[in-house]
Amino acid sequence: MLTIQEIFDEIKTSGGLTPSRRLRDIATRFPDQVAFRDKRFGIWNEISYGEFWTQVQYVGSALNYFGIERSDKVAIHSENRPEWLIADIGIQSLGAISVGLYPTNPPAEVQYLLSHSESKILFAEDQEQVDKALEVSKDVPNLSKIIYFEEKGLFRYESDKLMRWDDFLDIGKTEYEKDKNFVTSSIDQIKSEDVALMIYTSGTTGPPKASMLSHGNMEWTASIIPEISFTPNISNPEYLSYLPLCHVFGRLVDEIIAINSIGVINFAESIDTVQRDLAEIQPSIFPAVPRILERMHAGTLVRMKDASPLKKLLFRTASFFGNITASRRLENPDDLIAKITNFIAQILAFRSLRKKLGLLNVDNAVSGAAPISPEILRFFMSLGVPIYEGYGMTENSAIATGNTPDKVKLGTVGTPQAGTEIKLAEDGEILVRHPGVFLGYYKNEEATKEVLDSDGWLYTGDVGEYDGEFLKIIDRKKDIIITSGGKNVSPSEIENNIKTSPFIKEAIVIGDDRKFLSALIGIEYDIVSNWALRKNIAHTTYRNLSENEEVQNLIWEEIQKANEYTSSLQIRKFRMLTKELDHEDGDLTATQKAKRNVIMDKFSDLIEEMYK
Amino acid sequence: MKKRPDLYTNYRNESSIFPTTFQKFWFGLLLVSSFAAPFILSSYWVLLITTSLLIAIASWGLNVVSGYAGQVNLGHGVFVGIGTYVSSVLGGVATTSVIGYELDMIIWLPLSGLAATLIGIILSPVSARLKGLNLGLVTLALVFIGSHFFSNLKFITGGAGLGRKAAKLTFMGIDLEAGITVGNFILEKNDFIYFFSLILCILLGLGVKNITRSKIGRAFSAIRDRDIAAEALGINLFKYKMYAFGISSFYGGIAGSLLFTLSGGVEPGSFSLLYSITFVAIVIIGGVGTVLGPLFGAFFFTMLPGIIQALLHAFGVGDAGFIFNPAEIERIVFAFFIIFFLIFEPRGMWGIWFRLRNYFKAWPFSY
Repeated sequence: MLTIQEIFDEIKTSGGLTPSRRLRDIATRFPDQVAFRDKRFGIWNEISYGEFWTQVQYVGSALNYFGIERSDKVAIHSENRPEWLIADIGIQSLGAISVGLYPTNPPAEVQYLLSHSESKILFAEDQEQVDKALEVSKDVPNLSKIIYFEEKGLFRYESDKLMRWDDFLDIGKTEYEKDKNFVTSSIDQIKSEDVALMIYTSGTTGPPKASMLSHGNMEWTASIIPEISFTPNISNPEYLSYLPLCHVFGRLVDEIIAINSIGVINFAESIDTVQRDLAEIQPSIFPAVPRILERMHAGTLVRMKDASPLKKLLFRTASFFGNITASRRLENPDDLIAKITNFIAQILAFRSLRKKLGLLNVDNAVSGAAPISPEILRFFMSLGVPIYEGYGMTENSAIATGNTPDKVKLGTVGTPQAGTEIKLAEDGEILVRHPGVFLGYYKNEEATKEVLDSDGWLYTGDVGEYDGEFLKIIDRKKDIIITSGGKNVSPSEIENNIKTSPFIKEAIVIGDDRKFLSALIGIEYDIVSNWALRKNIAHTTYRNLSENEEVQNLIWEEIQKANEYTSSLQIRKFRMLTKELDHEDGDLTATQKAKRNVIMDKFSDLIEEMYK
Repeated sequence: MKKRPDLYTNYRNESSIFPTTFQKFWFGLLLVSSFAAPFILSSYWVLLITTSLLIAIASWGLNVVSGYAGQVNLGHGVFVGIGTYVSSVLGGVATTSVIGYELDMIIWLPLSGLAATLIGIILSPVSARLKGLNLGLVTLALVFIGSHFFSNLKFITGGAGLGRKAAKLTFMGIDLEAGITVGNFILEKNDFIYFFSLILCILLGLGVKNITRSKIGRAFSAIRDRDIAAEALGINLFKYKMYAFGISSFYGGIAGSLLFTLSGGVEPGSFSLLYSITFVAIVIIGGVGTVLGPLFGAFFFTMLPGIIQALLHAFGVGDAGFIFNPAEIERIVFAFFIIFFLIFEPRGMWGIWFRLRNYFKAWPFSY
């Protein structure tokens, strides 16, 4: 097996490969190398690259048997699991186009996505997803087959569209025996400009749009792996796959980067067990989204409150030293005093804490996909976890800028990635150009024209500041608040400051065309409930707890704390959301981002009350 | 150290006894130092440690039936007695009053265990019919029946007040009674008993550990926690209670066969009610339903008199003229410990060890 340095050198000399080609290459050279670990009944079952490639060939042959041709679409609707990647690469290896659906997508959205993408075959995870597909199947005439991974609850379903994954692979095996070179030769026919994936953007406004990413996009992304902001220093390629694979960030890390770096991809049991899985896997590279980091931060602080006085004291001492480490490292990454203070903090408490969080072996961590509060990043830096914010979006293969250990500035999203050009439009909109920029939106010329100009610049829709080195994002262009006093405010900055509080899960800042700023707050139910229990506050439901006066006082204190950090206007009033925001109710996008306009509409009475 | 100690790719690793090199290292070190002990320690300490090891074996037996399978047994001492007399008869010397066959240890050691097992199995149907207090009473009766037999089978036991000599130590034809000189060291009879006890302790200790992580052990726990639920799960109560009593008596028998060879002689009065209760106390103090607990308890029980004696001596109390004599103080302290553990630390000394370990395991959290 190659060392990570040898793998990087290989990529530098021979360039990046699209995942199907890279997989074929690895499987012939290192067939016994572990590709996946999948946790079932408490045990991580290993699957080798050789087995991975064999199954991909079966999938390719079987898809061909069912009439899938080049540029046909095939959808996958599942949580992350080995079959996801096997199916995905099987689809891509035919030159067909893979479409990922979020497991939380409700039937109406499934119907939209399947019919908009004209998918012919659907890989569905289990009964839940099969039910959704069957419910809408009469409105999706193109869909001819549904292949399911989990049999549980499905054996009495009578639909000629349904097929077990194992039966599907059996067909693939028979077909493969007839023509062993079929998949290999169709991989050879793939051209860089061919579309490989369609990723639906979550769309906080309007229906989702399908971004078409080509094999060329992925090849370029793979080629910059050695220089990408979150790969330096990694010692061995061990990944935990928990970010949804249908999202560009998950696909980038768990498919393009992981396979190109011959990594081991560990599949978390479910999103609820990520913490425990992390502690078992102790990955070396950890791509995170703010939500996960916020939860780790809140969980640590809350559990520390229950610790014995001695442990609390040691933790506080360690945090003191940790803060020195973080501050000094921000100035100079190789600072000697930072090394000493970090060493002390590690011995006192942070080494064991990192082990519990699953961050002990993390050589490089990145936070992306949504803005994160600098306070949270500082917390992890003080723990000695090298975590840096990056910036990217579906339309540019999630590659634009990133902070690196050598070049980091809190509050910014870092410097441009290798081969990436960044510039600002006159109105401050960030423009990105590199070979990873997508081909366009599927069946939506108009929207494509709005974001791609003839020179290949991508209009990101984000407003920012760029000093030629570090890029700072202010907000989504359409989210910027202009108060009736004429002041421009970035709501996401304030929202993130508020969300630093362990008690607060959601914050939506309001103030467009209003006299002052206000906020809608959603509590972190478990943590507030725990707090209430200790204060002897009786409560029943989410709503009941939210409306409790003492809880409101607690939240107001937390908001005032956040107000101190905020450079722009202060939050003057707030109201509690009376329900937990949810994807199925349409309050959140599939990536758990709040849909501002939907929420403002739904809770308009609360908002109006504040401005009376 | 492994980078991912909690990552298990198969069940064999997950349930291994010593999952980390760290634990393997310390266990190895303990083994090596244990085998070196007779060459370093005085014969007094060797005697104490040997007694502790043998009592630990007997306590493991009681722990299997009471701690794991949840069957009250107040008559464990009887099985130890059976082991003792089987070994004495098979390995002992015949005199005018008692029988003896002077057989090799390799014969009498397993047979004394098996004989106890046989009696245990014969008695086990009682436990299938009774539970809780009722079973406790029956096992209590067992103590008196045992005492009666021990006192009256004079050709075996020598009779009450007189007793007989224990088994002779002949191993594979080598007579170990007189001791053997190894280099500069003279290994005495008790040193050999120490080695045998140590080896048995390791094997039988691993045996208990393996029972607990096997199907049988899980069945035991199920029966302990709720016999009706266990039966509903398809566990054959009769069969597993029989196993529990059988295994338990085997441990008792093995321990008994060697325990009295240390002092050389045995008197039927030794196997009184108090003797049986001692094992219950050891299991409670050590930690019910744990592997390490009885080991802790046995050492504690054996060492306690010595510690008390030393303390009394240091403070000058317990000499003539004090209300209690040293033996009485010992009993009072021991009784006090049982009450203390039942109230404040029901999981015994193992519980203290467990919490100590978790204090550092959970660092920097508290749970």
